[in-house]
Amino acid sequence: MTRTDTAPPLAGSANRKPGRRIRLPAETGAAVGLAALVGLLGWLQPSFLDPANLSLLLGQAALPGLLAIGMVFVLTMRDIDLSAGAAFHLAAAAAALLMIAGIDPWLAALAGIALGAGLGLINGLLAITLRLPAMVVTLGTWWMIEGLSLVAGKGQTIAPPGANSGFFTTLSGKAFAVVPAACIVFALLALAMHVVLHRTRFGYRVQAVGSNSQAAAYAGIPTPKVRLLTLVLMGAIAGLAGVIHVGAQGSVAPGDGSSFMLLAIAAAIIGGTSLSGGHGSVIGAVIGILLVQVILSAMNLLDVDAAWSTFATGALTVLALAVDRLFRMWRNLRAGHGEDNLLG
Amino acid sequence: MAEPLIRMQNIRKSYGRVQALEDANFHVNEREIVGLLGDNGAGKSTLIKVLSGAVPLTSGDIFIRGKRVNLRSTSDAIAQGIETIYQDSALVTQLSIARNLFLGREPIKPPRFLNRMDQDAMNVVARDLLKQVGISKNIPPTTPIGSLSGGERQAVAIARAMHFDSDLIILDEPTNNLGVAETQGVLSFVRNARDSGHSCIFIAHNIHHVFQVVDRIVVMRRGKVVADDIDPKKTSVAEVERIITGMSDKEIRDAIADGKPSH
Repeated sequence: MTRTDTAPPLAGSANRKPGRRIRLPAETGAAVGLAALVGLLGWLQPSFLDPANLSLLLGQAALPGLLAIGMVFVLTMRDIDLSAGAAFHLAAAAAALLMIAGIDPWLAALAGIALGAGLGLINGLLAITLRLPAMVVTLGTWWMIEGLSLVAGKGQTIAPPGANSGFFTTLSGKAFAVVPAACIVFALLALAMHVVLHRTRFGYRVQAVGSNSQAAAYAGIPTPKVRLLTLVLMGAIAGLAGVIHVGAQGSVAPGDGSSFMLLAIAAAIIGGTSLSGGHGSVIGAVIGILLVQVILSAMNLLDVDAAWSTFATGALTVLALAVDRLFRMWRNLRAGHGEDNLLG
Repeated sequence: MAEPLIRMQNIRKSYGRVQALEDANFHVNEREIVGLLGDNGAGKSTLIKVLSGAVPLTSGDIFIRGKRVNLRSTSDAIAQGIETIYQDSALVTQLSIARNLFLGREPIKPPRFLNRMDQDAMNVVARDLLKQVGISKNIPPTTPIGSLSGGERQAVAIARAMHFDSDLIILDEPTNNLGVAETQGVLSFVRNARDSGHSCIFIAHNIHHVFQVVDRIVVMRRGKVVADDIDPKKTSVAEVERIITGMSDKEIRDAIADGKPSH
C-alpha cells in the first residue's frame, strides 16, 4: 500500500499546457483608449494639442491622480476609502490655516500630510477594531471630516498670505514652462508606488489580503496591520495632494476636491484595478485619470454643457466595470475552472 | 512509549453556550499520518482550528514534544512547526505559485529597509519544489494559482508545508472535489511527506481515502474523541462508520477487534 516514489505523476497536469497564452497587461485597454482619444481630439480640434491646454489638463489630472494611486492600494486590498476626498480638503484647509497663523509654509504642509495620515489611521483603527469593511467606516468619517472642514473654513475661501514665499512659487511653478510641479510629484509618486505594489513585501501582502484574506491570515500574514498601513498610506497621499493644492492655487475654496474621491475610484477601475481585490495597477490608474481628464477637457473644448461631463465620467466608469467583468468571465470560461473571486 | 509530537489534553472550546469541544484528548506521534473522522459538527474543525491557532481554546493544554505551548495566533502555530492546509483558504488564487509558496514568509533582498522581495530566489526554490512534489515540469512558477487544477493546488500547498520544515501538516479535506487519479496523486504527496519526516493530520469525508493513507484513525463525536487508536489495517470501513454515527462505548470496544481506546 505504500508507494514511495519521490515524484508521483499528478494526473490532469501532464496533458495540459497552462500559462502559455499571451497575456496582455490589464492596462492595455485604457492605454489604447487614451491614445486613440488624444489622436481623435487632436484631429477634430487641433487646439487641443496646444501646450497650454495639455499643461492645464495635466495640472487638473495630477491631484485626483494622486488620490487614485492611494485608492489602487485600498481597492487591491478589497476595500474602498470614501473619505479620501474629504481628507484632501481638510488637510488643505488645515495647512492653509496654519500658514495664516504664521507657521512656515513648508512646516504647515508637513502638518497637513501628517493630518491626512492621522485621518487614515483613524479609519484603519475603526475598521480593524470593529471588524468592518473600510467602506462602512469611511462612509461615516467622510461626513465627519467634511463637517470639520466646514467648521475650519467657516464656508469661506482660505487664502494664506505670503504668495511669494518659496513654498508657493515652487508648487505653482512649471518645469520647462509646461509641466506643472504637481505633475512632477504625481509622476514620481506613481513610479515609487508602482514599485511598492509589485516589488515589495508590503505590496505583495496587500494583494494577498485582497485576493483571499483568510488564506493570508492562515499563512501568518498580519492582515490587520496590512489594512491599517494601507489606509494610513491613502490618508497621507490625500494629505499630500491637499497641501500641493494649497501651494499651486494659493488658496482653498469650499468644494475643492469634492469630486476627487469618485474620480480616483473611477481612474483606478478604468486602469484595470479590480473592485474584487487582489489585483491593482498604479500605472493603469495614471492612464485612467488622464483618460477621464481628456474626456472632460474634450467636452469643454467641443462646447458640451458642463453638466454632461459628470455624466460622462460615470458612464466611463460603468463601461470600464463592464469590460473588466466581461473579460474576467471570458477568461474563466477559457480556463475551464471555477469562477474564482468572480463576485469578490 | 516516547512523548508524542503533539498532545492535546482536556481541550474545551465553547462558542457562547455551544460546547464545540468537551475535554477532547488527542495526540499525533512523530512520522505518523492520523486520520481524523467524525460527522458534521463532531468537532473536527474546531479541534484543528485550536491546534492551528485560528481560534483560542477555552481551557486545556497543548504540548509539543512534551513542552507546553501557547498558540494564540496562526503565526504562533506556524512558528511551532504546525502548518494547516485549509480546504478553500490554503492559497491566494490571484498570485503566482512562487508567491504562494512563500506567502507570509517572503524573502527580502538587501538592503532590507527597502523591503524588496527576492523574486529570483522564490522562483528558483519554487521550480525545484514543483518537481519534488510531482507537478509536471512545464508549469512556470509565475503561473497564477487560479489556473491550476484542484490537485495541483493541493500539491503546491503541501509543497509549502514541506519546504518550511513543518513538523505537522494538517490537511483539511484535501481530496474534496478531486477526480480519482488526482486523489491518488494527493494521497501519495501525503505519504511522501510522512516518509520525509513530517507528521500529518488528514481530515476527509471520504473514509475510503482516509483508509488508503493513514496509520491511525481517530473518531470524534459531539465534541469528544470517542476512539483514538483505530488501526485501518485491522478494522473495516463499516465498523468505523458505525463508530462515527454513534454507538455506546462498550459497543465501540467490541467493534474494534484490536483497538484500545485511551479513555
